Amino acid sequence: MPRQESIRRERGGNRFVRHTGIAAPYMLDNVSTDIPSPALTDLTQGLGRDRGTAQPADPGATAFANVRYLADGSENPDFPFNQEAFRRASIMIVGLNYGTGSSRTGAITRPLAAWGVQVYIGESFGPIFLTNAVQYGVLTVELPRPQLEAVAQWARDNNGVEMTVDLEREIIVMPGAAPISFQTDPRVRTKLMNGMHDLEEIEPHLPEAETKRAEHMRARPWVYQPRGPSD
Amino acid sequence: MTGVDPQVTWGVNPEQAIGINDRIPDPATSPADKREAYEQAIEYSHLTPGAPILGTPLDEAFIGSCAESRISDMRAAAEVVRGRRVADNVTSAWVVPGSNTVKAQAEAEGLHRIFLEAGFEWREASCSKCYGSNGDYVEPGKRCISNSNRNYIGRQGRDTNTMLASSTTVAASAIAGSVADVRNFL
Repeated sequence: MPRQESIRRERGGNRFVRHTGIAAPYMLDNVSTDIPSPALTDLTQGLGRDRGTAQPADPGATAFANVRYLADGSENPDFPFNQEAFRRASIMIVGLNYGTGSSRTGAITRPLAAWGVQVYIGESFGPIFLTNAVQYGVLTVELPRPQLEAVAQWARDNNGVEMTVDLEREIIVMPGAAPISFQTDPRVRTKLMNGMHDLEEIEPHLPEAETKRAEHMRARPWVYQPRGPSD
Repeated sequence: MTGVDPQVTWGVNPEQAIGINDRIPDPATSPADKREAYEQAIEYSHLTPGAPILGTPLDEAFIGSCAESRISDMRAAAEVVRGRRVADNVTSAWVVPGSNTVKAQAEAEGLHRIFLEAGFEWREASCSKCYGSNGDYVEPGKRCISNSNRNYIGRQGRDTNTMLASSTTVAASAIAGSVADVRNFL
């Protein structure tokens, strides 16, 4: 497992309180996870059928590979991370239904490895993308479209100026502009701010779960009986 | 289900689907909130607005994916292709069972022989061309009809077009060499 991913899985490795960085607008709608995390790139497709691979050794190298590079291998000038203003961005401002489609975790981990993308601000996100983000301590913020457009425009007008996305205060601070409030799921906020693993989240509820299980076994014992050969 | 024609996707996401007897949407007369998305989809798909989807020529056919390669799909597709041949213009026609269990069951029922005699390749269970994995991808510039569940841009390979349809519509289309109505094959 690449070192970046193993660090994230250590206890507290998915902690997120606030992040300050440059934001890059990538305002297409319905961007599927195939875009940030392609199974195929010119690297793998060119090697021929018997050498294609879905897990490159350097996950950052293939982040957005098919829109980041042109067919001749040169940088696509229209891709924000190839532009001087956004080369060092670590926040992405995205559109509607970002990260729709496949469950692939690479949609979170590859941009994280390539550019350290720790925050996505968008109109809405694919549900599996949202869950994967929490596992890796990456924050997703949903904003209504007019506010989202305002944030994107601020980023375009303020090249190289860093914004702060603060989960604790639930605000986006942009120098020279009014702060924008956002709302997060309280459970997700607690989990991220404390860097909690799934098991840590479940642990306090185990005694209650055991009680309920015992009640269920009494009420519906047949659910717990082993299946016989006639089943 | 009665009253619903076989469905085929024409665009770059699963929402962009129409019935087998319908025509490719025209962005100019489509709902305003869909117009831009339709224009981009039409451009990428190299299809003509207003043209019937039936008869769209195909380069590849793929019956596979965990979503749609159950033993029931294998049996149904085999019935469509029994005694027939894949069209000459289809340069790749694969059947990939959804799991090793399905593969074993299909072979026990002799389904693989039906596919092989019809000119399909009978492959090992894997993700395969569903998302261009393990070196299995659609050739650049080609159009593939596939019974998988996602048709996003470049998913099956760079510069490739994916049309999603059921296993039996894919089977019929592989025989016809173009998007076909499976009901004419039964």
